[in-house]
Amino acid sequence: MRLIAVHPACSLAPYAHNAVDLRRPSTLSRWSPVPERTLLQRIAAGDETAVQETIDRYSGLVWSLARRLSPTRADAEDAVQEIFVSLWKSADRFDPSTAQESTFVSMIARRRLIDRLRKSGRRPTVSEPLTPHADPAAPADTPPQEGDARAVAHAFTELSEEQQRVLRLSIQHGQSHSQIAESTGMPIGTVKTHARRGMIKLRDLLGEFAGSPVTEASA
Amino acid sequence: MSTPTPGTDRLHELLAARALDELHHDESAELERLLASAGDDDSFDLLAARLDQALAPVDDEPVPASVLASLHEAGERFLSEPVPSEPDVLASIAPPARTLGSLGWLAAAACLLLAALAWFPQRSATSPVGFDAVASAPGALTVGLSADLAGEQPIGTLVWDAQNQRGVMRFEGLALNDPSVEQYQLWIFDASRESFNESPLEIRHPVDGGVFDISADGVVDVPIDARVPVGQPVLFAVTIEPPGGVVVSDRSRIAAVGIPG
Repeated sequence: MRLIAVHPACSLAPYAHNAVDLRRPSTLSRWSPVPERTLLQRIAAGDETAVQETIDRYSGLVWSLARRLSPTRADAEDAVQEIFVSLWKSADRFDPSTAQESTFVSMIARRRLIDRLRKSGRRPTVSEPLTPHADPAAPADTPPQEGDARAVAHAFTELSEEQQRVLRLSIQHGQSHSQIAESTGMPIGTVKTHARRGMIKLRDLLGEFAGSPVTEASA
Repeated sequence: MSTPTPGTDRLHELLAARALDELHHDESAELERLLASAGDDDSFDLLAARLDQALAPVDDEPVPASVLASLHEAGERFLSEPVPSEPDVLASIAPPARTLGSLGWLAAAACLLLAALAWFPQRSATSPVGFDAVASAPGALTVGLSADLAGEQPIGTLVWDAQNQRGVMRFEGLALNDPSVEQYQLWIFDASRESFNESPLEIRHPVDGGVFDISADGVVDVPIDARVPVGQPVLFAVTIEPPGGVVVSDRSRIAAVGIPG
């Protein structure tokens, strides 16, 4: 086959004039590639290298969760290994059409950590004073977000102040409802109501009822 | 969007409580009854995880080396002692019928996976391979690349070894690119993944064949980096995209096209 130099110029710009026009027929839409398999999908498919890759990618996330939701550092160290084993065993349950992989990892980690807390009967202590003047729901300790996290954080601000406060103490600090009631002075029934209604409202705000998928690309 | 009913309202309330680990014993039994008809739902657990990610303070504390070491050891043990898939930690409150349904789904998924593995050839290691080596492989495809669909402006040749899932593009005269401004990206249209009626261009989700640069004049060989297995390539197209490539191409700048004969 004879090969010819079509565009010897250093810039690609002139090439656009001669480029094949694949925008026709007009019924064709844009191309998006077949999604690559996620680490967990690769594990489920028997790709052994993906097991170690999950450690590289998610050990920081899991360690952060374990430190925050464990009573002691030693507990956190024990929990991390248990979480990863659970994650590898659960890899075939991950559905990328319903959640980002990192969210699934967080969910598995939270479940394990909560399970350990329940069995031990201990809860992590909150180092910050929980007075109304040092409200944990205040945005001061909220990190900069992007993608899905930004959307969730934005929806979170739509909740009432009480709902935000209770959910932050429950989810971020791993506090039980009775602990929250004690630290905030709210009746425990009120804490329960704020927590449940806050979660349901947040779910509504994020359009979960529509079943909209969340993908890594949207992050 | 489904319309919430009193029953679903209560179900969501209980699912929210479960996600916060604040489900009482009597509520667990009630949730089990509700899930018997609705099927299990971990959306609130995922929501709690998303909220945690959104609210969590930035934690720059590195993972201790001892923890990482024990994790890697655990990974090795996991690989050497394969164990069955772990049941969902929430499954204890799910009715038996649901568990059986899940097993059926898993079995079906396993069958599909086995079928896919049987259909797609094993992908080889990604070590560089020469144009001639690929071209001489049994059953290898050789496809002329042209700047037009009619094949009147030849610009190179592509060879693809389906058995080993490897390929090389050989260009001559394709314009040099500045990687900081734009890069080339190969798209592989795979009829085994998506059917079409009249033209392979109807395929909307081609395989990403990798991003590459042309950094020298003359003949340049570029290995193909297909991100997923390719079963039946029916068209190869090279587009010009922003640095790093794109996940959605508007196809506005096509540099080369090749159609297997």
